Amino acid sequence: VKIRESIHYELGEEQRAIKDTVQRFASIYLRPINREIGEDKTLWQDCIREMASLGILSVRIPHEYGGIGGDYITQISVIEEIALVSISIALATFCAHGVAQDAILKWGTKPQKELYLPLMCKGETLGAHTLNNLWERSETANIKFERSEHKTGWLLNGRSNAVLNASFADVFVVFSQGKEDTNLPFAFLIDRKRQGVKIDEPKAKPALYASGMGTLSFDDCFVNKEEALGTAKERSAMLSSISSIFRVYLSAVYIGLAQACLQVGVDYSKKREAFGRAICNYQAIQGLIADSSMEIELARTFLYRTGDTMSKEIPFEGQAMTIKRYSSELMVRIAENMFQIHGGYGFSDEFAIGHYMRDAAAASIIGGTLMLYREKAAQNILGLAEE
Amino acid sequence: MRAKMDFELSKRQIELREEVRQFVHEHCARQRAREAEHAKEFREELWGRIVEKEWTGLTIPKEYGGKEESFVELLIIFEELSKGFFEANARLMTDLVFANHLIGTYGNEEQKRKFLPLIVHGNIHFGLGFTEPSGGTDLLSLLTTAFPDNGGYILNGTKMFCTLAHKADYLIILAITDKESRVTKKTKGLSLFLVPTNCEGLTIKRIETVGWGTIGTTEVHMEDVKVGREAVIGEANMAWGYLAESLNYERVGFAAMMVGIAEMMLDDVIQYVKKKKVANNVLGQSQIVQQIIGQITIDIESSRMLVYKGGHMIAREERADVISAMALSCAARVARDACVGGMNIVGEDLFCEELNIYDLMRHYMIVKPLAVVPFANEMRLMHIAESLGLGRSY
Repeated sequence: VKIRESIHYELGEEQRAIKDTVQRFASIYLRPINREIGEDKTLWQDCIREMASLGILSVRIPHEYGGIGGDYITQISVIEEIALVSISIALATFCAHGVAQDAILKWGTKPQKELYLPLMCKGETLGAHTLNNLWERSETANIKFERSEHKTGWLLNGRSNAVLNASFADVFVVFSQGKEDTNLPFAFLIDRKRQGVKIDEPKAKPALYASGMGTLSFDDCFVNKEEALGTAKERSAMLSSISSIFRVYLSAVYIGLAQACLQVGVDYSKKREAFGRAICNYQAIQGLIADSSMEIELARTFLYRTGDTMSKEIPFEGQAMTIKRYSSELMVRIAENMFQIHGGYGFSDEFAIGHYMRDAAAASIIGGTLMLYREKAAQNILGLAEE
Repeated sequence: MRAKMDFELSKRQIELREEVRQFVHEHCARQRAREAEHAKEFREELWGRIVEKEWTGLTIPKEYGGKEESFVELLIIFEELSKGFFEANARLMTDLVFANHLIGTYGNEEQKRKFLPLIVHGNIHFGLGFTEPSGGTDLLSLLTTAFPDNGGYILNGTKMFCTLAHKADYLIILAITDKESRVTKKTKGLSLFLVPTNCEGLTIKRIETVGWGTIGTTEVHMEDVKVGREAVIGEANMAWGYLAESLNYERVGFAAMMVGIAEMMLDDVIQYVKKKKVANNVLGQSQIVQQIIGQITIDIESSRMLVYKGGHMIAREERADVISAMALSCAARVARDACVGGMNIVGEDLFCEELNIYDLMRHYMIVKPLAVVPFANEMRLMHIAESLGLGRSY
């Protein structure tokens, strides 16, 4: 671990080069197909293959498993660039697939890593996870593991909703929600084709069309020892590290989308005229733009500070929660403010901002709400035990 | 001595409110509302029931077959019906608030006899053509013209965001009829026309939107559309005064709908937190949840006060520009806060199709546009400030 003398947020040469590649891909390849990609599965899959071939899906994976061995700062900058164009694709590829990769990399056995990581880097195997349901303790999500009586292994039952990338994932990192028996493994890697696995996609998606969000359910799904991820003892360390990574990736998506909103807001305010002048000349509009820009700048600084902490392998759980809470809130606020600038055109399908705003609202609650993070932050500061 | 303040609805008004609530409960299934929004269709199958209820004639004078109720009664319908049949409200808005008000107040006897009974029977619908590509908030920067021709007029221009025009028999079009007089004052020289949608030269194109799918809005293009003299509402060149009144009513009407939707979202969230347990505690008993719900309840009640004060003033034919700006500015914000507050309470259960709170996302895209239409919220605030004697800032 390289310890730097001072906080240093500029990207290095190599990081810059990767970011530029992603920027080019996002603007040349992804932007033109962004609207259709949520409706067209072939288009979606082609896009993922293209991303994989450019190394976008394997930033964090070491060379030995076919990745490009980048650090978290690089990963965050890549996520931001993709989210700037498509929040849904960023959620599916980084917050689902990417987090599953990180989970396997950090907690998987050698055979598991060798089996999954190279294929996941190539985009031939896609990953997802059920983290989304863990902290909210949803009444409809209730995955439980129990020992199988007949074979040596476990039986999974229950369901997890709002699973990102459920439509496309080949392998799921599934966490138990039963807290009764702490001797049981806490998570499993489960193949989509396994008997007893069912994936339901919503009939009418309310938002985040290309994120592949769906419901994952298990009906007496049998899993064996080789499929367990981590051990029972590692339970809390594993949960805290994987969910923290998830939170940081989500934050990068949020800030990317906030930036996208600001850009369309600025562009529109310069073009649109009312009462004889471009509306960017009015204080009411300028205020919205100035505030949004300030908020993004501050949030991004903290995001990269968190990335820096992660790369140095210093505990970052607290920072991850802070940035997740702050960035989700500012994303919704900025999307709404930029929508405000667009006036009636904001909800015309022709302009991006209505789509951005809808997706921002939906995305903000993924991985836990503001409310939950406020509560957790207070518990941390006050040194109170979690319930 | 002035009458004392009275915040209560009358017995009949309370009965009406119950009747609409019952209607929503019986006929407006959640699942159907979701499908309709997704498929972007107006639930025509339900419209007939609105007509049966005689709500289509609610504010129309008795002599034309209506019930001659006041604007307050219409607000009661708007508030309650928004909880299940939002697009019906939009139609009542075009047909009653605009068409009935404009024709009934300023139209000639022939127009009244022709149109008002048809509105009562739900057999005629109107679309609105005021906004143009050049401006909705800046409505007076319009370009559409109507030139006198053979005793009638020829209309040319493009109208944007024409609510329900694709389902209308007539459009109410705002056009310039006297260019010269507008040089001194932009509110002069404007006229309103009742233009049949089957006129030659008139095309209606649906504008795809994010949200508001059941209502639908359109772009209307007019190329040498000919109308007779009888198409003019009231006197030529006097339309701004007529329309400004209707626009005030519209704002209060939308504010009532926002109050209704906000209350529905709050109810859904309350039902949810009463049942939901987190670590053996009922979620509804947690302080954070109670703080959000307490605040939203205050906000809903205070915006309702503004809405019904506005309704009361309109019913007494008082000037309603400032109250309408206040009511909508407040109610639109409250509805947004109720929605986002609710999302923050329910978390990822928002994505559970079997729960009522699944609708929060759909409602978000119904209430959020009210921050920008009709007229951007900035405009409402500036209008209020101007009324306090501050100079015009735009």
